[in-house]
Formats: sequence, structure tokens, C-alpha cells
Amino acid sequence: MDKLSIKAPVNSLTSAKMQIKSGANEIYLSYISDKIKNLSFSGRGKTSINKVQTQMNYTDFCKIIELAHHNNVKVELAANVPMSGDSPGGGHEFQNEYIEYIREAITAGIDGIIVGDLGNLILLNKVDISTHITASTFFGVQNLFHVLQLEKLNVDKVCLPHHFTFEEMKAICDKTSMDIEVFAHFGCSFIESTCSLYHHASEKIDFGVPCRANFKIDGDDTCENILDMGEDCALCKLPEIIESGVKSIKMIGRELDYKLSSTITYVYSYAIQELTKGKNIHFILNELKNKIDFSFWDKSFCSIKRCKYNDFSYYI
Amino acid sequence: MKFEYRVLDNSIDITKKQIEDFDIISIGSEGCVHKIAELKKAITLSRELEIAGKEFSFITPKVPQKYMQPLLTYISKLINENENISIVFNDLGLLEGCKHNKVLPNKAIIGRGISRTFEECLWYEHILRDETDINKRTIIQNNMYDTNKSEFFSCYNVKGIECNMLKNQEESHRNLSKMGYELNLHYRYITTAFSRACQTARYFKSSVPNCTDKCRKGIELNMKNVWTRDITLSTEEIDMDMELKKLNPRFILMGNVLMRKTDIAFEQINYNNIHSIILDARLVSSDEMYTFREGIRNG
Repeated sequence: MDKLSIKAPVNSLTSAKMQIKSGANEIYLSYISDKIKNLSFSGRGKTSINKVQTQMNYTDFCKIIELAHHNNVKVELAANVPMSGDSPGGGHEFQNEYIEYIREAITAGIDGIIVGDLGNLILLNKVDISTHITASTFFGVQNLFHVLQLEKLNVDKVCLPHHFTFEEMKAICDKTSMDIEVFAHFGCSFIESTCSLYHHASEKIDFGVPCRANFKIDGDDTCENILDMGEDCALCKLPEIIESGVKSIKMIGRELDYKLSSTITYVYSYAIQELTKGKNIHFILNELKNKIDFSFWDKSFCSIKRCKYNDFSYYI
Repeated sequence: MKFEYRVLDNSIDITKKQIEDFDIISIGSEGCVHKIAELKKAITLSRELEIAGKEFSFITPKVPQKYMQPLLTYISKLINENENISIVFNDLGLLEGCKHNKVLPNKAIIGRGISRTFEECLWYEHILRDETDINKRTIIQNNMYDTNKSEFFSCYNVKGIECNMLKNQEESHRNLSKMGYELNLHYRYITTAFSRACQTARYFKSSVPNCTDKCRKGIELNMKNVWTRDITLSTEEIDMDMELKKLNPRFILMGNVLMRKTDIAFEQINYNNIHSIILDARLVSSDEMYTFREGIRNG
């Protein structure tokens, strides 16, 4: 059985060093392009709601690639801007800038790109960019036929949306030679390909994470986070993820402090390593609690039941 | 311009008068496979519409793996019954499945689960505040205005697109129309997000799929507190600031689909490139439908 690979977020040279040291097998990142001001050619804005820079300059981007390759870590360019298309006047300015952004990254030595829009994917095929392509969660894949459609468009890996059952992961993994990726840490309430509650998009107004907000419900006296279906932690479910045939797990966190995101990577990396030795996940969790201060994890995920892939009763 | 009467429920109760009064009748679901009416009822309606000389459209949602084959069988039987039916797709996997199984309709339409614009975001102007004019126009246009997509979808018999009623889409409508698409505009309510894990089922403490009677009416929501998480994972709920309050973040949850009301009056829309207007029976009363339709017809 192949070892489950960890794809970790990187937002600076320092974060790259920490993620690699913490056990990331792949990293994903994007560099600053002056063609877009607040948004970017990746799936994030240039700054997050926490005012963290999600991107680095091109010089650091090149240094990160060199560092990663030196450590046998693969690098994917986040080129998953979910909107594109012809320019309204009939030209192709936005698409040309997008392609230029990718070509620069290829020149720097990236190993693959993450794409988030069908038109951009077809465009990449047309302009003959032949690098490893991951279809981002912005494709909103729900079933095998969608995976097979993407395979015809020369996609190598598909990242599935946040709400997926192990049975569904297995059904897809069994019927395709493409690599399948799932999210391990943090999650959305809605199918990302359909969600217009944009945040982490260089906003100055504080929207927070809108789907987790409290809402007053008409006809009900209470205020509650009715939209919040976010699932955040898959640590206990790593055995089932591995069993399903998934090749890699993706961590969210270009908007987080690198010390935190690399700690998350370390925890998953340690768990995967020990699982491959045949240890039980609950035994591993106890070991982890002795190795690091696990209180933040308990507080942020376990005690408030932010478990991923655990309760499917509201899944359609 | 045509008028479409849409019933998104497994219980379809369409009167003869409604068939007489509208050009197109549509059934199915944008969001949930469990809201699709029994095949027998759909076939009966299809026959009635064929006799009446009216168009029939079947709406399909995103389709989790285990429901794919049953839905493909359903579609196959529906097309066998009436080859002129149009089908609205909100899942590219289902579209691919129809092609693979040779059950593509003669007219496929891309639904709002795929056809999107950045303008659907309530705070799009704020996010795009510093972008160049050309970037703004490109980002807020409908994502189907793309030659690459258009060529791709032509192999799937895609002839129409469903769009939300928004104030900055006139240019997009003109461009999509030039591409040869029929544009079907939803009256008043804008889709904002679709979920796989159903909020309505959880709110009513029901379980999927035993919850189909819980989403016949929408749940109106008014944002009160913002949820934030700092870089160390510390979370807190804070009051909305004045800028956010001004945006009036009110939504309607219809099952697993989050919507909001459009901020444009229907009189301000240019209907030149619009093929049809879709009126959702869950959201628009009969009186309002007739008032709107007469208003449009009388210019």
C-alpha cells in the first residue's frame, strides 16, 4: 500500500521550511502577480480575513521550489482562480495573464498546477501546457462520471469536496487510475464550486467566515449558526481514508500562522507514519498527546465535535 | 419572451390553468435528488404538456455517486416518452453520464449550480474595489461566457443557460446570446450556495431522505454575529460592523440551497436577450407571477 501523501499550504519561505520539516510530501502555493489587485490567480485573495499574506514574491517562490526539490517535496502552483472566460469585449486579456502566470511558474520549476475552472482547464490543453494537473475542489466533483470527464481533459489528480463518504471515495478510487485527494483539515459548509460567500479575499469589511456566522431565524426566537456544516479534523479517520484508496490529503491554511499550520502537518505526518507501522489510531493519538501540547487541538476540534467524515446523516 | 412555471418538489400539483398560462412547465430539483417527483407523475405531466403543445423541462441537481444510475434510468425513460424534453444540468458528472449512456436530451441547459457570476456574492463590489475595469468586468460576467466552454458544451447538446437576475449582467447576457445560448432568467431570487450536507434537515432534526416535506418553504435568515478565527485558531463571535450592516446580509435557505433576493427591480432589466423568465412556485405567489407577467407584456 502506498503511503498517504500530505499536501500542505505554504505562504512564505519560512512556512515552506517549517512545512517540509514537519513532514509535508507536497506543498501548494502561489506567487504575487500585479495583474490582479485584491484577488489572485489562486483560489484565495492576496490577504486573508486575518490579514495574513497568502502569497510570496516571485524570488521567494523560486527559492521555495529549490528548497522543496532539495528535500524531495513536490510543489504545486495554486492556479485555481474559479472565474475566467473571454474578456467582455471579445478579447482574452484575463486568460492571457493567467497563462503567463503559469508559464512563469513552470520556468521556476513547479511540478504541477491546481486548476479550478473548466474553461481554464480546456485552455491549458489548448496552449499545450503539459504539466501535472490537479482539478481543484472548485470543480465540485460528486461522482465518478465527473472524474472520468476530467480524465479526458488530461487531469492527473482530483481533489474531492469536503462532504464525502468513504464508500464514495472508494467507489471513485476503484474505477479510476487518476489520483484522488481529499481534505483532511478544516472545511467548508457549502460545495465550494457553488459558494458565493467569499472570504479570505482581501476584504476590509470583516465578514468572518460567513457560513459559520450566527443568524436570526425568522419565526424563531433564537440566533444560531444554522448554515455551519463545516467539518474540521480527520485525524481519527485516517485509517478509513487510507483504506479507501485516496492518494493524498490536503490541508487548508495559507491564511494561518505558519507555526500552527506546520504543527497540523506534523500531527498528521506522525499519525500516518505510525499507522504504516501497524499501530492503532487511538494509541497514536495518546502518543501525540504526550509529544506535543494537544490542548489547542482538543479545544478547537475534539471537544466541539468538529470531526470530518464522521456523521453522514445530513448528507444528501 | 417565454414564461416558465417551475415546481421544485416531489409533489407536483399543476393545474390546467397553469398549463394554459405558461409556455414552459418545469419540475425536478436544483439542489436535492430526494426532491425529484416519481417518474410516473413526471411522465403523466409530460403527456399532458405534449397534448397542450407546451414545453417541458426537467431540472436535475448535483448527484452523489449512489444516485447516479437511478437518475440516468429516470432520464432515459423520460426522454423515451418525450424526446423534446429539455433537461437542466447542475452537475457536470450527470451531463457526462447522459452522454456516456446515450441519453443526452436534444436540449441541455446549464443550471445555476454551474452557471455562476461573482456578482452573486453580496459583497462583490467591496472585494473588487481596487481591480481594473477590464478585470472587474471579466470577473463579474457569467462564467459561461468562455469560448473554450462553449466548444466543450456543444458536444453535450447544451443550448441554454440559466442565470440569476442581477444588475450588472446585461453585457454578459448580450455576449452569451451572441454565442448562441438561450438565456433563462430566474425571477428575483439569486442562488448563493449549494450544500451537500443539508442545513434544513439538521434544523428540523430530521434525517436525509426523510426530510422532503421540511423544505417546501424557505427559512429566512438575518446575519447577526460574525464568526472569526484568528491565526492561532482562537474563535469569537463579534458584532457586525456598520459597513456589513449596510449590506443587509439576509438570506433564504431553501433546503440545501442558500438564496438571497435580488437588489434590482424587474423593470430595470433589459430583456432583449432573454429567452425565458423562470418563476419558482415556492418563492413567488400566483398573484405576483401574473402581475409580473402582465407588467412585462405591457412593456
